[in-house]
Amino acid sequence: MILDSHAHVDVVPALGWYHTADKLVRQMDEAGIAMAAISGYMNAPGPNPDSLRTIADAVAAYPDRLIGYARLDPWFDDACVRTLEAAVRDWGCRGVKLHPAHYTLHPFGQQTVKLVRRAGELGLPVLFHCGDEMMSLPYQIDRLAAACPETTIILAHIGGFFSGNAALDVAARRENTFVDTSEIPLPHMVRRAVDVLGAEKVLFGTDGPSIDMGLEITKVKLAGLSCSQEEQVFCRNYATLMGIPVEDTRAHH
Amino acid sequence: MRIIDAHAYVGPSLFGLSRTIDDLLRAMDGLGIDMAVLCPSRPPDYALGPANKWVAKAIGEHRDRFYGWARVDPWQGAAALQDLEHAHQDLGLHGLLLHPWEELCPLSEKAYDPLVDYAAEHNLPVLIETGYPLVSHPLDVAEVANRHPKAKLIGTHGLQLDSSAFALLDAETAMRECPNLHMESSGMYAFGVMETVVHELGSGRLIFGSHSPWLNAELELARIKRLSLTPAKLQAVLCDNIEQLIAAAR
Repeated sequence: MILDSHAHVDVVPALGWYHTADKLVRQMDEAGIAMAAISGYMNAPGPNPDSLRTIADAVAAYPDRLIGYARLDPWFDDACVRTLEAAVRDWGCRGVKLHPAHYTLHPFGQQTVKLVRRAGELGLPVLFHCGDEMMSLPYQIDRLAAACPETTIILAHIGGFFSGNAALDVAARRENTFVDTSEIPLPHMVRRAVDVLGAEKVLFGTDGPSIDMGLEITKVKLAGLSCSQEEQVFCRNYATLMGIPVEDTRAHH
Repeated sequence: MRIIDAHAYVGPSLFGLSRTIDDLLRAMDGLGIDMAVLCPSRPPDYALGPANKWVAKAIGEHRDRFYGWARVDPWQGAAALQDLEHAHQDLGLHGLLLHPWEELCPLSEKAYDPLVDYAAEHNLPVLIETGYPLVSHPLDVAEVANRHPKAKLIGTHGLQLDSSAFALLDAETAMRECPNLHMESSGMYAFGVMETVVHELGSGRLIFGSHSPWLNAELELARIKRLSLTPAKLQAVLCDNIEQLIAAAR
């Protein structure tokens, strides 16, 4: 069974992105992905007041396939924390997505620390866009991870195209930090992540549906992992993190 | 279906990515790749001239398997142009490779102009390593394409290496604005953009390349084969487009 820890549902014409829940689930079916964690592309609070409703609607349409994350903007400080609480209480969100290069705020600044600590108190993992841009660099998120040891933090893309080794440094030194495999076309970095961190800290993710989800599976399979490592990466790790009963989910597929 | 990998590095590499011709041939045979356009790696001694010669020798020994790019360092000024002339006229290489990232030379530097002018004059295709932070943004490539409308340019990586995907619109914009610009596919995760290029701008505008051994040739070939393309368009992308550009060189 394959669980995708990093996918999206949102429609943002200004960026040319039209990624509906139907489109995502169609791709999941083609790729053989049982469940996916989804977030939007716009932050809340933010220009789209319905961004969290979009996620909740998608999860309501596919309750056994999608897990909702709230994509948030810590610039709004206490209002953002209240939005997080509402996202959990009213919209059923089970994780947080942060893209600091989008809202342009240091990950280790006090607004983000406060938000991420609250996410930890609520039992939500925080998925960070982690790549090669200012505000999303691994060592920036490292300081946040140190300040929020009770919160599970996921570094997306194993740090992007050029910051992979830094992302692995951070995930190796912070117990609360994982990496996800999404997007980067680098099977050797998936392999290196497993070698450096242990397979238990590597989560399969696609960043779909803008990215071909089947090809993301192929990428991980080209990493040369053992069967048990593949099972951890594709399924077990994320199931454990989110309390997904693997046997029950397998029954759906 | 005949397959040409337009973007395969060989030779001793400063960056730990050395690859022999035999290793490449074995990999090509395993994947059913008929030919490759060889890219000289930057060697440990930084000398690109001998690297071009090394590639030319490999082509001479395997004419049915290889074409080759001539790689020069634009910071060398007039010597870079002489290197390009030599690689083209004496060594018989088939196009110009520009690597702004490894040559530490932003694409906005005017040092590129005489090289691209030469390529345009001789109808040599120009492969530009594209998407690298600060040195080769897709709109940097568009500037070169607009400044040299007779040059045939190929931007690698779908013109971007942006894990936030914000540069996808820039990549598509560059492709729409510049009819002399082609998109190479290695590492390009956004299938929608590649399919838009093929279906709206023409199947002649997308070219298969692997950028192996940094990227994984098997994954890169799978990437192309998973696109929604007719067999004729797939053949264009996998083979015909790069072969036609090379055949048009003078």
